[in-house]
Amino acid sequence: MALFQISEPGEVIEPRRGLAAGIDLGTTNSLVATVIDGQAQTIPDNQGKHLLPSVVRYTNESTSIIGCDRKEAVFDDPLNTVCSIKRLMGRGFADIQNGQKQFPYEFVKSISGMPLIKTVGGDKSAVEVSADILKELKQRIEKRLDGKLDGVVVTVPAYFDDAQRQATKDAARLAGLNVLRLLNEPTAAAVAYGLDKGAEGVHAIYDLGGGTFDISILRFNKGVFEVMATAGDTALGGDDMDKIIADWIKEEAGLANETELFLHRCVLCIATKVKERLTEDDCYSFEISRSDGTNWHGELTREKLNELIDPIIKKTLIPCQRVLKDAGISKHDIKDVVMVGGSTRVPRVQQLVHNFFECQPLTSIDPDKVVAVGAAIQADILVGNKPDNEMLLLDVNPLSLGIETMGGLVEKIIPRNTPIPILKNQEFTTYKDGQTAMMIHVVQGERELVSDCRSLARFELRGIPAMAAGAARVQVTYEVDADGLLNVSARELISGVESRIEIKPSYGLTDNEVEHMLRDSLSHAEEDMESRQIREKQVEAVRIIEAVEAALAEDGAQFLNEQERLDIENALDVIKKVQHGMDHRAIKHAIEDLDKASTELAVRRMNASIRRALAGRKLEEFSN
Amino acid sequence: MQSPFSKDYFDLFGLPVSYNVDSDKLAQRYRELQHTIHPDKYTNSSDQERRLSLQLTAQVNQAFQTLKSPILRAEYLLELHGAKPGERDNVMNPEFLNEQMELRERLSEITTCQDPQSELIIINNELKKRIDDLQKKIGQQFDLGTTDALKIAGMIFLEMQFIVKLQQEIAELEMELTTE
Repeated sequence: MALFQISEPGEVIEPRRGLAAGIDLGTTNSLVATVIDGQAQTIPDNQGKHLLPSVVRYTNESTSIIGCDRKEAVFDDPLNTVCSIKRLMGRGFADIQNGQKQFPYEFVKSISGMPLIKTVGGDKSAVEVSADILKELKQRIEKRLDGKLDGVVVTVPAYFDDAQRQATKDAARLAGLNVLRLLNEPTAAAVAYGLDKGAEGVHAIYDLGGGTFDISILRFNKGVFEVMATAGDTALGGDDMDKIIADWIKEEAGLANETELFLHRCVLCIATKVKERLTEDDCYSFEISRSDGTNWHGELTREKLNELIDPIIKKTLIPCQRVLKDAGISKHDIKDVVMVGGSTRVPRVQQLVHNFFECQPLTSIDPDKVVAVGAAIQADILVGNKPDNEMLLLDVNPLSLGIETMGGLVEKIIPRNTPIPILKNQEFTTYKDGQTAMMIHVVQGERELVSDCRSLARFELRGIPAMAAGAARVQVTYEVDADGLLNVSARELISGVESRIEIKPSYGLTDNEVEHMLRDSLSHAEEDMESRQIREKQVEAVRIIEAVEAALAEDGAQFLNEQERLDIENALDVIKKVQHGMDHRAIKHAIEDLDKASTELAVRRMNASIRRALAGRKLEEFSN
Repeated sequence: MQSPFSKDYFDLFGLPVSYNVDSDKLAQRYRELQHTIHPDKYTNSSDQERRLSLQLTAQVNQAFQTLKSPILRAEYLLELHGAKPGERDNVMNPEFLNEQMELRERLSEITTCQDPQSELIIINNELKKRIDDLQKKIGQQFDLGTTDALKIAGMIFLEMQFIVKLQQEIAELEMELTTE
């Protein structure tokens, strides 16, 4: 690390290579990948396995066994073995009750309304379970790289809503990871393929995983991946095929009315196996032991399987239709369809996708690994290892963001498939004389009624001066960042009263809760909260010093007068005096001061680079 | 929106203020700007620069969306000239309104048609022709740029709004028909 490098004055230090990784946090399996010697590759555990089953078993010794074989653990201890947790990310207690049958656990409700899974190791939220999986991957990669990670790119289904994205970011934070970017899974897959093939043109990415489905249309042009539109279903995947097969088995074996959890899981495991075997074979035979001790012999043909799962595959074709419409293209404009996710191994899926798009699906990269590989490539760039890189990803928000208006209707503020980051303002007014407060209800979804959309947050703008109805001017601002996360603020324009919130799902974790969990998880770890904060600030100080010094050296003479330069240099002197100290507040203070002193320089530099980007063009116009 | 970086969306893309935008040039400059300002290029910069990059990229995205879309571009130009029709200026040409009513009637009866899909395609093509025509006309008025011309442009814009709304409804109908 730069902190510990000793160098002679004037000696040029080679910039340290950043340690970065891409993580695919999947419904069924998770993976970690990194770039080694210019090659992005997934990293196996010490037994050579690349895929980490997204399964955590909690025991009463307050330890958790992560990545255990789903089949084994599920048989031994179904209630304390958590799988497919991704389906619960960002979901409220009410969501679970609607589909509780899918989740064979006991749930309790947290104070903030989140569903917690009751295990012998304590009540666990989806964020905590995901963090346990992420910690395991973090350990694996840090051992392989022999150092602490500087940052990671974590992938999410493109169709994840704000609550699900926020939950994923919280889980990464809880696992002690620095998230450089949340990246949409189909976009990650496109990166892995794009760099491989260098193919310009329009591509479709069909991503059917264990529990989620995404379809994205991307245009790849001169190193820029531009997502034209995306659609999907965050509760549709291979799990649903397994369930349908299991239901069929139970029906055939006369077990349809059995309610026993163990049997339910047992049949589900057999169903998964049957599905996997039928990707190669045309017919598969199996046996089931009934509770009365007798055995039932069953057989499933590929043909029957296709009939069973066709409704699920056809369900994926509806978003396919929609995405073409939203992208404003026809299927003949599409060059190829990239297949991603384990469920695309099912021959029937490939066949129906082929029929729909009328072109051959691409499967040359392992559909389980392709997302992690793409994420690793992007992480390597974002951490700064490839300063001359020309690749750029331009993504969109998958679902419309709106606000509740009179009569429980939704007014859309940012429509779906708008490129991100984006910022939009909308003005509203009061409807009663003397009204001093206004409720802002933020929703996400495509439907016209608030009750049919997902509620993201509610907050109140107070202190509006009393005026006649319709006289106040309340400006509501929606801001979506590059991770696809939303911030909303509201301001009364005449009085200037302002209210601002970072959207946290109505039932999600508050910042304090994450902080609290972090503290808990660290209490028996090697470091305490205080030293963690100090280290974080020290790292931040190094980054800002490097950034400002570089900017000053490059453009200081050009853009600053004597006084402005002196102000920055003074701020730099101050921060250098405190940066290695143990007082994190002093470091924070110095960072803020340096930040302030360098504002003008930043604005002028940004301005100049825009002008440079357009300069050649302007000259060309003048000469015409 | 006030920005420290540019006067207006056209300036931001280095394009002349005009309704007739060269879409290839627009797309090319969009990519060039993104290469310079996107947050991914500033992950290791100071917080200051990262905030600026986020702000500016949001603005470039908004500008691109606006200039790319014929209807949003018309609305934006009218706003720039302070000539956007208010709610009271909503007096529309009766002939146009009649035509719209007729189209709506055809749409509402579409599900009883023998072949609703091809009927939708026919209506869509008619609308496409209408909107192309209106675009040409509004472009001419913006080129003239006089107060009277801008007033006419405002009227044309209102007509465009009607048609775009119809087109959206048709798109929804098409989705319903194909997914049934």
